[in-house]
Amino acid sequence: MSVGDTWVHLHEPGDGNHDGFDDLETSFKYQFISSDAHEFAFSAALDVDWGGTGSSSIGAEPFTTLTPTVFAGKGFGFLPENLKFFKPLALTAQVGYAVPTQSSTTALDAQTGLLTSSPNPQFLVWGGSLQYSFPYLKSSVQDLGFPNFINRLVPLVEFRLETQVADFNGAERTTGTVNPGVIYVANKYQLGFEAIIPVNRASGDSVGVIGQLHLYLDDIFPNSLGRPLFAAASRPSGQ
Amino acid sequence: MRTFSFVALFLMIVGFSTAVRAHAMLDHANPAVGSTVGSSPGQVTLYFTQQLEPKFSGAEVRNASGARVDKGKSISGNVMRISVGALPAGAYTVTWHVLSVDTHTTQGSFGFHVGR
Repeated sequence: MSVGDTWVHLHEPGDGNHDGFDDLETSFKYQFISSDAHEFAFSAALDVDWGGTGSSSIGAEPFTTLTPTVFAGKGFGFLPENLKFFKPLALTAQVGYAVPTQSSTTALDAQTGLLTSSPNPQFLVWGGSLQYSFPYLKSSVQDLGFPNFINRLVPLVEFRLETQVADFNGAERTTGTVNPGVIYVANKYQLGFEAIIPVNRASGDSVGVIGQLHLYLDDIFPNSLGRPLFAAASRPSGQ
Repeated sequence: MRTFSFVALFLMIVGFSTAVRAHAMLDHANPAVGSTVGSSPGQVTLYFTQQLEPKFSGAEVRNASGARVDKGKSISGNVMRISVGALPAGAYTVTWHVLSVDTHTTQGSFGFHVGR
């Protein structure tokens, strides 16, 4: 389960700057398949974008959107020894279907004083990533003696796209971004930065950047949040 | 249609994510992962990123034909030592599984060579 929010700074040519939080996002996710031996995982989630919880000045939607999504990930550890330096590669893919809880939004046009209604499209939300894990290279393929900082890096490129499939609003059918970046994996947190490159004019006209700090709460607080709920049953006797 | 540039900072994730797990991962080993050593090392030493639960952690070492050559293990803190005796020249695979003190299990494997 995850809960998140995003602070957005918008610069619109001719319309100044706008700042604010986007809508609150929650995700309920379950991993159905996790095979270390095959380096394969499959998960499903229900993402909820809670309408009306964000700032309208940055375009946060006033309606809630439900997005059931499936995820798959596959490592390249199966490659033969003569291709061993490709073993740290991994591919992920995801596809979801975003359904707004309102089929249209009615708003007052400030210039005309008339009420206008615009459809809220249903989207196919799809994407994936290709990543190269230096931690995997060091621990499972070959320890090349790189500095510790390098051995904790995961360079990656992600792509995130959405395609209108119903209730079209007249805009470009497919929008999205390609995000090259790098993640630093420490023992108690991970820190990532990615560039955000629009795939077409409808997705944006300049490059942005996103940063993410991901905390491992069970490792930071091993005696409280990280403590097992059933500690007595999960620990060996006498320890 | 809005055109914009933006800087977004994802502020917080609370919960239990499996995107990248910390837990006990292999930090380094002796012989080093993927290395070639001139003579039998006598033991294989694995250094993990967290303290281990000894009763639920272990490893095995197999030669190129798949036969086990490990002769016992000892664990202290985040270090696991596997006795292997005198290994003849050849390729060996170390397969490990551990339970860290935060109760998460991890596993992995790597190879090393003895001789040229």
